[in-house]
This record gives sequence, structure tokens and C-alpha cells, in this order.
Amino acid sequence: MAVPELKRILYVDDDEDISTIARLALERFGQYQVEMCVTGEEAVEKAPAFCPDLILLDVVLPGMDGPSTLKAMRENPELVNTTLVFMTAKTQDEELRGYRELGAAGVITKPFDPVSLSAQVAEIWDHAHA
Amino acid sequence: MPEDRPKWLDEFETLRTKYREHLPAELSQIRGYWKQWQKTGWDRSILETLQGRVHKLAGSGGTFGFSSISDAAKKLDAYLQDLLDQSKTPPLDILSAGGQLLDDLDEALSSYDRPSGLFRAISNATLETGETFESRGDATIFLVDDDEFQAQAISEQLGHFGYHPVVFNQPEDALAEIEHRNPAAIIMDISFPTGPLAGTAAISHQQEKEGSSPPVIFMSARGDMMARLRAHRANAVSYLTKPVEVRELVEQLDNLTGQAKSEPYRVLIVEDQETLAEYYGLLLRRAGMETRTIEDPLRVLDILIEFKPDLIVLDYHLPGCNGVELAAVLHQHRAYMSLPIVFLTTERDPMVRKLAMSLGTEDFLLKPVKPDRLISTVSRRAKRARSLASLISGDGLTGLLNHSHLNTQLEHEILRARRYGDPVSFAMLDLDHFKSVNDTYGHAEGDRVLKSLARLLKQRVRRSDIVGRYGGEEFGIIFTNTDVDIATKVVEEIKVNWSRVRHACDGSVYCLTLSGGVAGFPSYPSATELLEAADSALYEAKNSGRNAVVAKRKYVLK
Repeated sequence: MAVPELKRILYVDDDEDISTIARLALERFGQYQVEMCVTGEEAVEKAPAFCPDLILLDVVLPGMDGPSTLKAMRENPELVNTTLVFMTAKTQDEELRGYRELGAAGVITKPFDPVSLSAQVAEIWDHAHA
Repeated sequence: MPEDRPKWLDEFETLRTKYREHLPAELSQIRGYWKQWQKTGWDRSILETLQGRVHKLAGSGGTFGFSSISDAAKKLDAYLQDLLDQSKTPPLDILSAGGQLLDDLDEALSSYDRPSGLFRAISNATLETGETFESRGDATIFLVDDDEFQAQAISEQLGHFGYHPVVFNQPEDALAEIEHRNPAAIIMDISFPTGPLAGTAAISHQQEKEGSSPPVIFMSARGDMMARLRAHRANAVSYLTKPVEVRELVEQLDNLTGQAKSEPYRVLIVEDQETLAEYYGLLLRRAGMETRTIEDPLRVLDILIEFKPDLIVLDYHLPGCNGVELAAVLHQHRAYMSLPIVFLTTERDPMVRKLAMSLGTEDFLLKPVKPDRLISTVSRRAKRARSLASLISGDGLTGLLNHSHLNTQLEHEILRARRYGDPVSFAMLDLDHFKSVNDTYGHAEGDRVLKSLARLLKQRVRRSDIVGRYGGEEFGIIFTNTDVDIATKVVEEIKVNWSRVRHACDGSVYCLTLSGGVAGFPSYPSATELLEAADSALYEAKNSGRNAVVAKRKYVLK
């Protein structure tokens, strides 16, 4: 079966500098359509309307953190199956496994290389939909 | 043609500059929290805030090309996490560790003039083509021999092959200059007035003192075990007995100085989305390749003639004709039949890929492509294509182009010259009395002579010129963008240099000469006529007594 196309990405991070460069990288090198959110709450609110194929979620957020945001998203029937990817500066295996168990399709470690960010996202997408 | 700096590079640079501007303030904030935490009696919430800031820094530095900041911050982050986990007043030595980590972070900040990742690539960014990565600088070589006459003789011989060594008469003088001159290799005699093994002793001493030395080639009239052993202990690259055979010396030097390095791969990128095209170009140039980008697939044939790529990176979906069609058209041409093509596509449907494969395309990469994937696939395919091409088109002995490929190249160059109005010259060279070399010294020596001439020719012409072996003792040179007068001058210099090379075999030393014929395009407007004219000129040179160069010019009577 063919892998569906990844077009729209919802990006959730409160770090303005990182968000800007991530968006640039995803739009320029991945040709994706990107929507930005600064908090988990905002993401939960915006997601249904934007209808993302994939959500890129920083683990550390003000208010509702990454994992809590994921749980909140899954409560919405429209978003139950949306591919979700965490971004984190932590690299311990237990943490990473924990995220997978929560239902994340993958994890991207920070600091990320802007040049390969799109490719990493695509790889996780392909893997999740194989 | 050099292109303007792409817009998106500027966008990234702007972001990096902005990030960098925040850094000093951020770092002093972090220090402020650290002090505050200690002053207010280890208030946990302050420690948590501090950790949050450091954690953020760890996760962002590297993205903007400040990987040393990310590294330092990660260490500090882990340290702070430990403190949080312990939740009691930390002992003094633990606190000083924290201070040290903060200092490390400050130091990392001062390294921001050495960017990493994408930003290093950007700061080193070269323009597309027009510039190559290698410069043919002269390698510095030291030659150390107390016998001045011998030293001069060797020096002179090396000069024909492009090496101009700095001569010293005593090892101490040479060693003193190593630090300033940084030679790529040292050719060192073993016996000196100061001692029969002074040469090896000096090098060993240097290695003990400095830990290493530049690569050393020892030469000596001594061939005994003791000398060789000492040379080995001094980590000699090789040991040549005198009288030194220059050809072997040249070969050793070539290996040491990397003259045997190959040209960078040339990659043509056909991609209609501008940003992506520039991005691929940047990635491949970062890996040391030369790139050229076009957006219109219909221009491919023109560029092929001019740029002569080793490989094409082709987007599958192009306006005007799809990637597979383009590949099929290219492979129709005899000249491009084995030109490797790497496809880039967002197409993940395996059926489509199977279809494309069956049409003869070689490699598929999925977009968005991972940088290292692109680079490794392109390198691999280009390398394979090059070695295949040289197997097919190369002369086994000399590594030069063989007869038919030299002719093909000549046609190619004339096509190009016709298009741009440039002159092209062709020279036919033939060794004089070569048969007698084989008869007197044997075919092995004959082969060595041929290899030696090939080496001299390659060194004497420019990178854009093409040298080939016609067979037997005949060689051809295509001088691109050169008129017949200049080409003739170069060939005359080659003739003179070659005549001075001293060949050694079984204790005898001898010299050889060559004859050459030169002709130019557009005086001779086709490859066939050009070849005939050069051949005819060569014949005249031979008839005039050999060791001569004759140029054939057409005079138009008005």
C-alpha cells in the first residue's frame, strides 16, 4: 500500500528562535505547510481546524507539557490517529522509550540540524505508515 | 557561471545572527540565577528555573551552528538535574563543579566564530563552478645531501616533473627549517661528514623531540642491513639506493604530496524548485564536489557538452518532460549511455518506482532527502562510473586515455569550441628511437619510460587539457582554448624537458628525445583534418632529424 503524502505539519514550541528556523527549514527543504503554536493549549485548540497530517511537539512547554498535550489531543476523535512526533533535548533511552509508549511515532533530538529536519520528519512519517 | 547567493542562505544567516545577539544576555541571566540560588538558601524553584534556561540553551545552540554551546549546556543541565534530584544542601566541592561548568559555557560562547553544521557550510560556501576545490600549489620538498653536485643533479631532474626541492647540505639545517616551511616530504641522504648514519640519526632525533616528522625518503650509496634498519627505525617511507632513479623518486613524491589526487566529481542537478536545487548543490559542494544546477530539463544537452558531469541528479517530476523520459533521451546518445542518473522523487508508490527501474534508471532517492544519503549515493555512483569509464577508456599502462577515447574527446572539444568560438590545438608526440630502448634494456624498462613520459606530460599541461596515448610510443594532447602558437611553445618546452630527463637502468644512464607535430582548430575545421595535420607535422619533425617540434598552419592566400 502506498504511503499517504505528508503535507501539513503543526509545530508546537515556545522557543521563538527555534520555531522560526524550524519553520523555515520545513517550508524550504520539505515544502511542507507549517502552522505554529506556542503552547499545548493553543495546539489542542488549533489542530482540528488546521487538520495536520503530523504534529511536531516540544516536550518542554509552559503550562501543559508535551506529553500532557499528546493526551489531550488523543481525546479528540478527529486527532486520535494524527501522527505525533516529540522534540527533546533529553537523550536518555528511558525517556525516549517513554515517549513512544505514550503513542508518539518518533522522537527528534535537539539541537536539530535545520538541513536534515525535513528528512528526519519524513523518515518517521514513512516508518509510521509503512 | 557563478550564481548569486541564494536568498534562503541569507534568511538562515539572519536568524543565526539574531540568536547570537541574545547569547551574552542569556548567559549572564543564567549566572544571575546561579548566584541567586545560592544566596537565597537553595530555593528549589530558582534552581528549576535555572535548569529550564540551561536546558533550552542545550537544545538550541547546535541548531544555529553553536554546537560547543549545546555541548557545554548539556553537561551543565545534567549537573543541575542531579542537584534537583538530591534536594538537600549540596557540599562545597559539588558547588565548585557548577562554577566550573558555567565557566565552560562562557568559553563555549567565545567560540562562536567557528560555526558548525549548516552554518559552517554556508560560511565556506563556494560559488557554483568557476571555482574548484583543489589548488595545484607547489609542494615544499626538502632535499638533504652533503654532495652538492649530486644534490643539484637530483634537483634538476625533479624539476622536469614539477618538483623544486629546497636543498640543504646538512641534516641540522633542514631540521631547523621544518617548522617554518612545513615540507610535504624530506629526501635525505644517510651518510654525512658528521657520521655514516647521521641522516637516520637526525630524523630519529627529530621524531623523539617533536613526536613526529614529515615523511622521509632515505637515499644512500649504502645498501647494507645496518643502514636499512636504522632507516626503518626512523620510520622511513622508503629507501632508495644511489644512484637514485628519478622516476621512482617522483612516484614516491606523488604519493606523498597527493598529486595523484583525483578531480572532484562533477554533478549536474536538474530541479525546477529553486530552493531545493540550491540546497542539493550546497550539500554536494559541502562534500567536495562541483555542481551545476539547471531548472529547465530541455537545456540538459547543452550543459552536458560544457560541463561534462560525472553524474546527474534529476527530479522525477519536471515541467516539459518527466524525469524518466529525460533519462531515456540521454541514454540514446552514445556518449551519455553510461552516464549515471540519480532520481529524486516524492513518489512513494512502489509500483511507480518499479516502472522507472525497468526503464533503466539506476537510483531512486525519496524527497525530502537526508543530506548524508544524498552525498553517499552520489559519491558511490560517481565513483563507480569514473572507474568504469577509465577502465574502458584508459590505457592500462599509463592511465591516459586510449586512442578511441582521445579521438572522441577531440570531437567533443571541437564541438564545444565551435559553439563558443574558442581555438583548440592538437599535438601528436612520438618518442624517438624507442625501439632501441626495448632492444637494449628490455620491455620492462620501455614500459617505465612510457609511464615516465605520461607523468611528465600530465604535469606540464593544464587541468583542462587532455592527454592520451595513441599506442606504442605515440601520445596526443588536446589543448583546450589554446591557439596553435602557444600550444607549440608548450610542446617545445616539453621536448626540451624530456630530453634532459636521465633514465637509469642496470647502472647505465641514458637520455631520450621526442618529436612533435601541432595543428589548430579552426584552421583545420574538423577532428579528422586536425589529426591529419598534426600527424603530417610530426612526420616532418621526424624527417628533419628528430628531437623537433613542427607546427602546421594553413595560410590563406588572398
